[in-house]
Amino acid sequence: MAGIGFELRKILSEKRLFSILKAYGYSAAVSSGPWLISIISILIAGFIAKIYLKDQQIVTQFQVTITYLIAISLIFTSFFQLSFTRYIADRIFEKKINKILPNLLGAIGFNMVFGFFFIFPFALIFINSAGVLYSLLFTFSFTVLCGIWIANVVLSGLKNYKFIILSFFLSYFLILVLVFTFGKLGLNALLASFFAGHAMLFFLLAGLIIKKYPSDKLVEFDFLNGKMFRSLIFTGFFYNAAVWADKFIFWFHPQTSGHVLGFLRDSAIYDLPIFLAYLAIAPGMAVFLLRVETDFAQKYEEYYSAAREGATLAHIYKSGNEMIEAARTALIEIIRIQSIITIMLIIFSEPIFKMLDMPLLYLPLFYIDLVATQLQLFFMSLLAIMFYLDRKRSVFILTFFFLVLNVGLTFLSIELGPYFFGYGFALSLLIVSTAGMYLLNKDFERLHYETFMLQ
Amino acid sequence: MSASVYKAAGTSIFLEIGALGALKSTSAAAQMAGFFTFHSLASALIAYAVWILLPKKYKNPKFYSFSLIFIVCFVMPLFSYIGFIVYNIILRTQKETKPLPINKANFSDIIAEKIVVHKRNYGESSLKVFALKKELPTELRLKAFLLLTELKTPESIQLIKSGLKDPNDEIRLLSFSVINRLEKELSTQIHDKISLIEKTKDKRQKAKAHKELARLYWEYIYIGLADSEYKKFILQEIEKHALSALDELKTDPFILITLGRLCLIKKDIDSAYELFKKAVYIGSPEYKTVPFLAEIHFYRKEFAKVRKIFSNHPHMRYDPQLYPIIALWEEKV
Repeated sequence: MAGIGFELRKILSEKRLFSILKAYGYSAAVSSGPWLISIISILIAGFIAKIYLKDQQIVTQFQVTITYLIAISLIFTSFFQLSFTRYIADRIFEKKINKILPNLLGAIGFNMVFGFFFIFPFALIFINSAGVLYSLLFTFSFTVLCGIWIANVVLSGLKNYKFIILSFFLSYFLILVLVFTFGKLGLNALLASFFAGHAMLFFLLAGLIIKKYPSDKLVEFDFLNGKMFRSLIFTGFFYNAAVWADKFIFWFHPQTSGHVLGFLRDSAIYDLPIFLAYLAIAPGMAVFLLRVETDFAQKYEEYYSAAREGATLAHIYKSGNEMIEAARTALIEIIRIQSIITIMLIIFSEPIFKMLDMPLLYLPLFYIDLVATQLQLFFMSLLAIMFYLDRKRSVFILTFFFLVLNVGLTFLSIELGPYFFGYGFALSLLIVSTAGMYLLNKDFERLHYETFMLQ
Repeated sequence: MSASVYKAAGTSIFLEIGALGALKSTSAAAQMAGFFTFHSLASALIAYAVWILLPKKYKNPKFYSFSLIFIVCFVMPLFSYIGFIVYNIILRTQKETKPLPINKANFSDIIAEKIVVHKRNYGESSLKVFALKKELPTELRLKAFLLLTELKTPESIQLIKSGLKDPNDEIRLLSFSVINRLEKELSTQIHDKISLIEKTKDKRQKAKAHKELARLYWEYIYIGLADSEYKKFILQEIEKHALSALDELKTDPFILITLGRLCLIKKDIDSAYELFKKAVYIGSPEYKTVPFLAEIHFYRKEFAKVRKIFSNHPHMRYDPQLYPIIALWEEKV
């Protein structure tokens, strides 16, 4: 995240009220820009398709297909996301910049090949009712998404966030144009539009990476030579699987789900509120990026440089305390800002729901989902700080329990009835976040000892 | 661009159309078989065309770079054609990363982050008071003694030596351990050099060891480790080893400077003067002898020459240790 960190620090150093707003704006654009653009575009694409298509079921099938593609590709590449990020970060620390491009392309190729062989039989066997073309588009879209998630690893390290946001905007704009032009041809045309947009996005992002990271090789598999941490491989999987676990359970539990297409099912009760609640954490994401990636990252760098370069003990203690203070400020500010947003949304949820023509029946679930997504944001921030402190074991344990608790408590919430829907996800996050705070507190208490004795 | 590239790209497009056509077959199995056969061939051909156009450095390792392009072409039918045209342009215009522009930084940040400032806990004079005043709390005095051990100047060693007679057990122990450690360090090095002289037959190496021995013994005198009786022996050793070194290293001015300093201690002013002059003559930088020559002129009561020798070397005033002396002689204080 160094690239954006520098840029935000530069904006903040202007020391004007406007520069703070500007920094928050950039931060929001970088942290949630691509994500907001994609969600909103898919929504609009659905609306456009609804105008043309007599069969509303096709729009649902399209939106559910996309959700599955994103969920499965994220979980599939999760084995690589964190461990490969660490691999890249280590090479940057060693100043071996020429290793980034060939290994990134190697990792993209690796994930695409395995992704293809993983998803193709799945598409063929479980969604065969939609036809061969659908299965092919499903497979190719999945493979391209795998490539995008891996390319995403180095994107945040680049300073060209304007280009990145523009790439997302253009690609999703292409999807909208194609849906508008060919949408009436049916599900395959809709999925082909989605695939075309993502193929364009892949080429744009990979092109930027190739331009920014020169090398004397195109492909290398150095990352497979035992240089990726095993714990991070599983941590990435546990986290992504945990984030999607409750959704999958709701999609496949007979009491809460409905059939959509082939093997694909959705949950009419659960999907919309959680989807809206995720949109609500955009401001918190901006604060997270600004506070963790600039303030905390800067203090972290100061502390570890002081320790590495042999500064005086007084200076090391001072930097350490400043780093702890920065972490605390970041976490408190994330809670504060997101709580304000959550409270405001709870207050104004009724008029918003009425305006969007959504049933008010969803409201209780929407409230608990708002709390859950806020807790997820907080948990994410805790994990980010723990990653900075290289507490791989703590993160591994926390994400493992997040998965186990989310699975267990979501099943329990379904058994307890509709009033408890969403509580499983929220409660699992509350438990792991509390445990995370306890572990982080312990880590900070022993910071100097661990820095010097356990290296 | 060679004709083979055009041929490969053209054929690939036809095969891709064939792959799309295969999807019109009636059975799912025929659709699959037809599509994958045509599409695989089309991907391989377009991958070949792209690979040929790649800048040379990206063609290696051949198998992997070709495979990557093939995979991308395979999973992105049709779109890969446009993508790779753009890619080729990017790869061909790729430049080395430029260094980041210089950004303004806060002065206070630099001080806080990078410059390690050595703070003085006591002034040197108060350090002496803390070390010598026995009425002060042991804790403060110990702290003062600990700071003295860091200084390693002749003055600090003298103060530590005074701690050997201190009524406080802890200070006595600390002083003893510091002095003992310093003596041990020097004697180990001396022992090594003596055994080297005994072992080696190379005259030049022997002479160098003698020179080093003279310097190590000189260290005893300089930091004030040697007591009065022992001092006599040490001075003899310095002379003995310096002269032995000089037999072989006749043009080494630093041996002459050592001998000159020895003469100064013995108050043999004239010999010292000759030795320093000779040292400069055979190549010693003049400034190395300036403080000693000034001392000689002082002993000889040639005060105008003291002032002159300093004014001839104006840069010496930037030596923080010499500055007060030079300032005095220049009547600036």
